Amino acid sequence: MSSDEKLQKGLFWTPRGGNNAKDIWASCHTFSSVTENKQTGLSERTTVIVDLGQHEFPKDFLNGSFDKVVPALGDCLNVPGEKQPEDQARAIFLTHGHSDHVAGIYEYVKMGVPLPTIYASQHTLNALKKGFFENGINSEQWPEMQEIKAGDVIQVGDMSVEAFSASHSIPGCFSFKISNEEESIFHSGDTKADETSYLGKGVNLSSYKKIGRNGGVDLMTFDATATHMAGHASYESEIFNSYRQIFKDNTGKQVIAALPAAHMERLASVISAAQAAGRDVIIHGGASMESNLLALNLSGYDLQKKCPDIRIVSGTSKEAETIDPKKSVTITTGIYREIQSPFVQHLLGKQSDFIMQKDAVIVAPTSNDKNEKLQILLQSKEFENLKVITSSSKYKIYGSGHAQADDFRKIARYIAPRTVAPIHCSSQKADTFNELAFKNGYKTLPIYPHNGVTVGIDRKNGCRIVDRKEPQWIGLIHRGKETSFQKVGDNGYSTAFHDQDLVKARQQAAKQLIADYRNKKNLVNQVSLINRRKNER
Amino acid sequence: MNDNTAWENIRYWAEVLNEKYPRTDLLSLSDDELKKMLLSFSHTAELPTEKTYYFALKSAWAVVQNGGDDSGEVPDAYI
Repeated sequence: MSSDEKLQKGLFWTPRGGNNAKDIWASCHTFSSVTENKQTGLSERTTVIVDLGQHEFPKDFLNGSFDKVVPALGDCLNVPGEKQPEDQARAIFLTHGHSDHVAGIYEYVKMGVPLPTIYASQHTLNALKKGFFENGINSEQWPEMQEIKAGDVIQVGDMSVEAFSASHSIPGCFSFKISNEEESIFHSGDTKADETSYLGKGVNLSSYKKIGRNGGVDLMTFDATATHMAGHASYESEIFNSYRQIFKDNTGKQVIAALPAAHMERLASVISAAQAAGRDVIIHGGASMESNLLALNLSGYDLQKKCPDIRIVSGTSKEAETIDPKKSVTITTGIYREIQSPFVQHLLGKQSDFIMQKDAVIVAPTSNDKNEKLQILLQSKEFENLKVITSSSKYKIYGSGHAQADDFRKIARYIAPRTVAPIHCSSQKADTFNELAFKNGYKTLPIYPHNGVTVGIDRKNGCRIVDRKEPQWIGLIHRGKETSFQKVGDNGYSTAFHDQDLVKARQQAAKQLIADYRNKKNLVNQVSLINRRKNER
Repeated sequence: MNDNTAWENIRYWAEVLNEKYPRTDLLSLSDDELKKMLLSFSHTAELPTEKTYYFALKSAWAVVQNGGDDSGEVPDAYI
């Protein structure tokens, strides 16, 4: 805790990653509380970090100059080569275990930065520890980690951080209520308002009611990844019912269900539906999908125990050969046409051990045009006897782990925030979110709180923008066990939003191309016509 | 087995295990069974106690079985 006479009192939030101009990566937020020490009369500051992700597309950043890119936190962590910060972060809280929220931790450890205690669910900590192994970080270098559960309140200086169960695509997710004596912020993390889960727990809305009943919060920072979409993100119970119906409607045929490998809730829903329909399960989606199922086992979500009437086997194992494809479902990857997906490899004629019958039923849920890539593969004459079920079918099979418009309305009603702000989104989605919030009667901030913007809250002034800094990043280069790193500027990745201009420019260019093409075609046509007439004569 | 928790060693063990026990169903492989497999190698010394080590080892083995690491193919942010 640092002392400073000049600091204004209040609770402060600064997004450090995740609130980008476009795309979503490297989620990271700092929260600081500044209070007056009643004995000395000086201001005292306490800071915590919530999530510490890494850029998921480092090749897109600064022409791919770095292997890894993480938010620069030299102002609250002791980064070698930088001045020791006066205001050291005293804890790191993790909302969940996805790489865009936790993988920056490995890079900070590799840089030799001492980290404060990390608080997270058991599942998140398991994922984190696996990452330490994978990154060659020996256990002596691991920071202190402490498991927390929903309902736990951790006191850090004059701040308290309360964990709430959140519903996303993996288990062990939290939202956090961060408070000091006077102000409070509800930070949603990645979430949706789904109370159903085949892994045990969905969102606990009744725990949110408690917040609303106690006066709500000053600010709610909310997952705006998908709030531009109407309705609610599909509930896992809806997904379960759809798959169960698909299995029933296609009795006697092999079903191949393509899913995102990281969507563990969906894996559990589809496996539970298979149990309800009496179909065995072959997992053949690549190493990540198997690893995610192993992660579930480690965290106490043993799907084989939960579904004792069916067999769940790996598609690469000998046991898979003993299962009748017509009485089973093969769960795989490939909806984004991932090149390493065994299913995609098979469709490309490269994978020999993926079993697909000629009249199989393919279930390929997705909401965007990436699906077309898979569709194009399936349109080959070779696969004309396959039945393909996509999101546009009668079955509700698509749903991400992110809140849509109705999820926001539902959660906001319980939390009763005085102001709301978007997180985990692009500028464009932030605008749509603010419009949604405004229409529903919530105050919003005057600007998009992109990375580097600090929002201050105090009882007198409410929420306001108190600082705007150019965000900074640390780019790392790994050569064997050697790590070099340097601080780099944002170069507009967080603050600029030229997409509209780019779209306009592309449209112009496309129009020009079409016009040129038509002119050329007309010219050719005219020449052909003249030639034809000449010949006729 | 002090330094065997280092990732290079985990990958090494994954390769060795896959060679001796091909097409093992990793989803049903218990930690105890995996420990027995590891102890079947004459150069195995003390086994790590950390549960996540065996999770990491099985995941590494899954990479070997599947012929590659697909973890970076789809970003987690939109899932």
